[in-house]
Amino acid sequence: MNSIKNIIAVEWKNIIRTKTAMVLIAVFAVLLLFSAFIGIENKVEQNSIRQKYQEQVHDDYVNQPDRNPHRVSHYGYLVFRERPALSFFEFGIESFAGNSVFLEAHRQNTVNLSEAGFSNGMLRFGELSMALILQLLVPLFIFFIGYGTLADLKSNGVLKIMLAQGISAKKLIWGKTLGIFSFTTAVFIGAVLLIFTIAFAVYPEELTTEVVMRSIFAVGLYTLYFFICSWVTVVVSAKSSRGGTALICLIVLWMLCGIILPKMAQNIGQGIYPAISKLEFETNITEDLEKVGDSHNPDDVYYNRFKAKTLAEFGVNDVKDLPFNYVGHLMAEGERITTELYRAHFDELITTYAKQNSIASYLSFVNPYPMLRNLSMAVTGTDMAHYIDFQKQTEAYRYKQTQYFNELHKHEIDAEHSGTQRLDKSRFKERETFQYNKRGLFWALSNQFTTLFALFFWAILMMSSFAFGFKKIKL
Amino acid sequence: MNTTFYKLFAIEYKRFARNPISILGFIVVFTIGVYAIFHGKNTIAHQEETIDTIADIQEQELAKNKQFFSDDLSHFTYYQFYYTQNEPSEWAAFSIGQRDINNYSLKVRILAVEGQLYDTELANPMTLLSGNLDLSFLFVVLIPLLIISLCFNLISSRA
Repeated sequence: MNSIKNIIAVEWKNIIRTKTAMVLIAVFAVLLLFSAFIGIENKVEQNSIRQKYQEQVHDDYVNQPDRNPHRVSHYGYLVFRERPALSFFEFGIESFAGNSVFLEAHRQNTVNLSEAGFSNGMLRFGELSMALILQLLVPLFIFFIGYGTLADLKSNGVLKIMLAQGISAKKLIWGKTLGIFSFTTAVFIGAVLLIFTIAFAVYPEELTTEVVMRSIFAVGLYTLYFFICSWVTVVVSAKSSRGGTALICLIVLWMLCGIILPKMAQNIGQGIYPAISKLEFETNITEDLEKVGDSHNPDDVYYNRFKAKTLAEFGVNDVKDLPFNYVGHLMAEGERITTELYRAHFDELITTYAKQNSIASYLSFVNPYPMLRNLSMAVTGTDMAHYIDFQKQTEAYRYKQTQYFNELHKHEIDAEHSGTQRLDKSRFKERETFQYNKRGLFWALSNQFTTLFALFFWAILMMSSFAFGFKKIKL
Repeated sequence: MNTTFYKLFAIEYKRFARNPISILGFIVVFTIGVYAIFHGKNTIAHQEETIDTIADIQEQELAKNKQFFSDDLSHFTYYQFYYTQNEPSEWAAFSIGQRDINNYSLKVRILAVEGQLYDTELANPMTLLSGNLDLSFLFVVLIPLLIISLCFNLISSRA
């Protein structure tokens, strides 16, 4: 045990003595602080803008004049998407996800106005977030401080002496890995904890139990990632005869795992499981809708049967004799059918997207970067699942509200004045505001089952390498 | 032809061409390049296919709405959408650029003029985040990386 402590202490001393390592730490620390500042400012400002306009939309809505309920459902309502609390740390798909969605009768609109839509291609080179620094730059730092840790001892012959003195290869690799890992963690996880503390001290209203749980998981995740990187560095260094070879090997690995493979995985997924365009999506829904029936066609089989059924139910011969307004009843039925079809097609589309993303999840078993990125996005609430969830919640709200207005139409509007009669505006105040039901950490992780499995795979792989491997180092 | 420059060039070229690492690097980048061409072409072809269907869809919708609302202009204009299209340029397959984020077809109607212009195309946000592996990515990112990784110690390794 003592010798491992010695190895770690020597490792720390060596790193601290390296001037370039200190310069890199300074540069990364400035970058981290800068990106934290930008991230927090951006998030707070965006949310305050969105909240302001959300209130304005609601005021305009509540203060509208007396109107026909169907006019009100076409007047619509705009819902703004609140950015998740931890999106200052990890941007995830935030810049590619829309900010607001317009909810109206008969139509399911897309969530519009994303940052990417207003930007040029530079956004694709990555945005400087704290997460990006920890995901891509800190591994480079680890490679840099660790590439020579064993390879240099080999080339100057010290390793031979050490092994001859009776230190086992396993102890050496274990100690070196722990040394590099503990140093990196102390510096960067320390910095992250400090930034989180300051951020939540300045904005204490963000600090809920849920956010704390998510933060703790995120920090644990990044700590494990640094361990994986340290382990890879020491293993590569042990296999290389010279430090230079180890460094080239590690940098090529970094390019492959950090830039090329994740992009390829996503592109291949898109190639294998092609997704339909919006035009095809809408055409498919229209086609299915026409198979059911067309409410505008007076000879339509489905709607004539629906009418006959309604008349029979109330024992009358004409829609005028019904105890309610038939138009409202018909609109409710139409809304039910279109919504059902839309949801079925939307689920199909999401399944296609999930299949496209699955390639990157499977890649996580050989490449820790997509594993970390997927889990980090899930934990911070900036992944696709949270975005889809927002869309589904707004759609459920839209349907409920539209049906509420159709009910009003059915029971409180005279059949003779179906299109013109107005209801008192006080009736529209009964509308509930949209409240996004925030999801918990376990919900977030349950969407990343494959990636979570990859995390356990990596943990087991590293543990078993220390338990069964590293019998000797090739000199 | 026997100048110092030529000799240096010949030696350097031989070293470079015989180095298995540089050959491997070129094979990898070349393979990715072939895939990039395929991917760019595929993506743009899919967009073109969609654009080609627009005329038919427009025709069908017009016919249907004429049938139901020929005596009611307000209902006709309410239900009738007009489709626009943004054709890919000749070089779009080389660099897909923002064509995956921005609409290449937008449907508009007389109602709600401004808002409908910002409708987004349906796209997998994860794919948008990772970006397209098209030929321009190869030229802008991968080839410089290859050059750097093969040449970074050309002179310093002699020291």
